Amino acid sequence: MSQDHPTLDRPVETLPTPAVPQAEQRLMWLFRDSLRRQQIHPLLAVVRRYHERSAQ
Amino acid sequence: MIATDPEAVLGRLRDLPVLPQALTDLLSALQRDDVAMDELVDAISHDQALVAKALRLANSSFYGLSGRVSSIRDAISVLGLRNLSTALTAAAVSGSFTTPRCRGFDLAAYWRHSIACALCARHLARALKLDDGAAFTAGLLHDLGRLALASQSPERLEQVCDYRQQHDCQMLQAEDDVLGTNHMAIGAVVARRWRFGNDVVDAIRHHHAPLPAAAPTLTDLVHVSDGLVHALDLARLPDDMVPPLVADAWNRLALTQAQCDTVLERTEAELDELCEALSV
Repeated sequence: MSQDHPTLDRPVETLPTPAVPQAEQRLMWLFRDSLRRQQIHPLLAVVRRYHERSAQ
Repeated sequence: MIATDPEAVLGRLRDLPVLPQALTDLLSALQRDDVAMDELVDAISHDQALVAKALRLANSSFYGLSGRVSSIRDAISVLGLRNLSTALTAAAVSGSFTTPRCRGFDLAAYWRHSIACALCARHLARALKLDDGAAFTAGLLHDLGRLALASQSPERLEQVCDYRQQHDCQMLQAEDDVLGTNHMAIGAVVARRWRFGNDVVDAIRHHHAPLPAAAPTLTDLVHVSDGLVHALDLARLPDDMVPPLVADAWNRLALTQAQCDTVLERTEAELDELCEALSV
């Protein structure tokens, strides 16, 4: 096995995932229909930028 | 599924609530140029419940006129006829249906969403120099069909809610699949019966699928406002879902991020105040 492609010693599902802020998780949930269809929803970017600006 | 007549789903139309005569008189008068002020004041003043609610709204901080409005005549001179008509419409519609008992239908969330959409549509209209009174009314009434369904056919709406929960799909999809019609068609029937203007009825009928147009329409405003307030999570429904956006309608409005930021900020700032003033 190449050093560039080390094998995993546990299933991928058990690996830690990067922390996603709760507000972003909720946003993803609200847009789940478009995300499932792999469609770009223009309002996702608009509302995300609005939240970012509000948080500053 | 074969398309179903929305009136068949609603049941007997004569059982639908009617809007107060004073309001329908006012809305009709607003379509004319020769409005007789005294006649209007008399007509509105006969409905004391409506007057009380409208004055409470006129004196709320939403209109920034705390304590200055004590009669319908004052309200007309301070707010203007058009603003008074939106206040009366909001007051009348929020009190028109009996509280529905329907599993899966959250009345408080319904009103928070409708009022948020009305505010958002109003601010979008102002940003784009369109009719903000019509935008407010159309935003407030856009999901009227769902309220009518909850009130008139709660068992059918429960079937829709169950289907939607099982499939985690858009509510519109669940309505089409279960009923063969949807809240847009049903809402348009009720709004037409209530004699709202054609632009408001059309906005209700097409708010999830705006028709092609050369310039921004009232339907475009409601369509985009509906999406924005779902995305802001203002109804606070755990399983809420942002509806798809029609690209042409979005492009017609040609909004900048700065305009959207201002509209969203104002909508959020005014929502609790207006819900409280309307007692919903």
